[in-house]
Amino acid sequence: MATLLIIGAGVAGHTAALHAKRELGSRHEVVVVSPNTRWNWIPSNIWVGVGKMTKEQVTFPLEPLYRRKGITFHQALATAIHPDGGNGHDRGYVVARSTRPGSEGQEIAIEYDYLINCTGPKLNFAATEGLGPDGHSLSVCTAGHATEAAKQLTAAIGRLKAGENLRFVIGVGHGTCTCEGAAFEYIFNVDHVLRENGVRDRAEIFYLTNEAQLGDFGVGGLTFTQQGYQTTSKLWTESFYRERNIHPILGAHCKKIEPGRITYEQLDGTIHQLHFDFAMLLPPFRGADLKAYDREGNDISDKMFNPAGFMKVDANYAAGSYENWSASDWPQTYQSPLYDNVFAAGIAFAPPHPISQPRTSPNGTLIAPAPPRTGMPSGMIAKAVVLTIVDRIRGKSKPARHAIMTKMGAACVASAGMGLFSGSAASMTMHPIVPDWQAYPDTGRDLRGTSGEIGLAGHWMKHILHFLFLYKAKGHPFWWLIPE
Amino acid sequence: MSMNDYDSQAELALKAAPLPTRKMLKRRRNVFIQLLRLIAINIKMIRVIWASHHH
Repeated sequence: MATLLIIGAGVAGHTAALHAKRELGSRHEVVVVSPNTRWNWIPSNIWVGVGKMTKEQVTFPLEPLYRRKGITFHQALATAIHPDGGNGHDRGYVVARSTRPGSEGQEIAIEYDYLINCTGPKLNFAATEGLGPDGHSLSVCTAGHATEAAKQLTAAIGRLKAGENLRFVIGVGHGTCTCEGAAFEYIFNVDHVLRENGVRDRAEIFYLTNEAQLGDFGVGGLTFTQQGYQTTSKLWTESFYRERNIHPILGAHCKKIEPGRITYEQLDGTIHQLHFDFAMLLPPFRGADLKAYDREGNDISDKMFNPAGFMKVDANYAAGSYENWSASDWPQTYQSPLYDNVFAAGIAFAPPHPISQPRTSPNGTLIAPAPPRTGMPSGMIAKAVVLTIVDRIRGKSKPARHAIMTKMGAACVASAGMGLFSGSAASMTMHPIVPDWQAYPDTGRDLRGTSGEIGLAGHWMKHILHFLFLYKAKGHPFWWLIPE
Repeated sequence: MSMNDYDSQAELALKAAPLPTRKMLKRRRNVFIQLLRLIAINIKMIRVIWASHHH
């Protein structure tokens, strides 16, 4: 009997666990270690953040599901990987600290034959002074954060109704943040809610972003066809913001958040201050605080992880400057170069470099959107890794399965409002996520799979996806027919 | 340190961006057209998913 250990139960970890158990059945053991007891469909946190959904509607408890599926679950925070074993362990093992009430802090060691690191990101609020719910800004990264953001938004709407004029600043809280699409979706929702409440004219909305131009979204922008013409996500997003009277501030790195005041630097090196009454600023991501040790107990973390704490896989980390980047730099199998039974999926893997061109201000401040790899790519990578491991456990001599971000597409739907006919959405598809200039010399992407449009259709689509993905994550009958 | 709140270059670019026509705004809300668009987006997404899984 082989043991597959999965660290993390987010989109990647949970997808991996469900597929692994379905493929391996009861002959092999699937073990999940996660400090969280509930699974969260993170894209719908945006709706929680404007009070349109509750925390309970976007999360569900993992343990009953894992019990039903025969997956072993440890409510614990993984702290160290010992891929060579040692200390009385013949196999590799992971040390985890219990977060279960009653046994908090107790350490357990879990042995494995195969390991998938799906820890997701550590929300690095500490990167910017005063950033985050423990500082002076809000977040929608977790359902709890989003609930607090909704409470603050309701209070702000109350003040607007009482006749005050308020300023809303929404965007990213550091020059190296990712997930600009989530900030875009939240600003769209806030604008929509303010209009619903008849107070939009009293609100000034700013979009504060590290993108050098609107529509970059951390993927270097898109080109797509619209009514017989090629257009760009830059023009499309500018039109969207102009229509909604949203003021963008581009190429910004937040240096400090104080009560009601943001200090930020722009790409030209100038320093500015922006007053706010409501600020939702996403944090940059780091890898989880995982250490790695060899058999003798020597720290090998710098060999297994990059400086940001993401796990190195089969990518080309020596590509150098932007001019030298190519599609082949991106990983294919997500296998550790040091250990062939260790993989990383989702945000936990170290990308070779950003997708957007990185820029530095004259003061030497790096202002560069990090590559997004949440949602669809996370699930697809996790499934490919599981199928590779399943092949190996079954003794098949097949090559490792591939899930390459230069071949993989993604959809991003920013939807506002809940009514069947009163909502709206901005929908984007892209294929591939990482431009492949050799395969698609004109625009870097396949124009047949890359699009952007605004309307009710995307709004319906987003709601369908919400219920479909929750259905899938809950492992209901035929869940596996729903693609990642 | 500047207290100028607006990013003048970004504001300039925004002013040059096209606004949707009244016809386009109606089209975005027209249930029949949007049903057709929903089918079109679905087909596009299925194509993207298919290509992603079978490269």
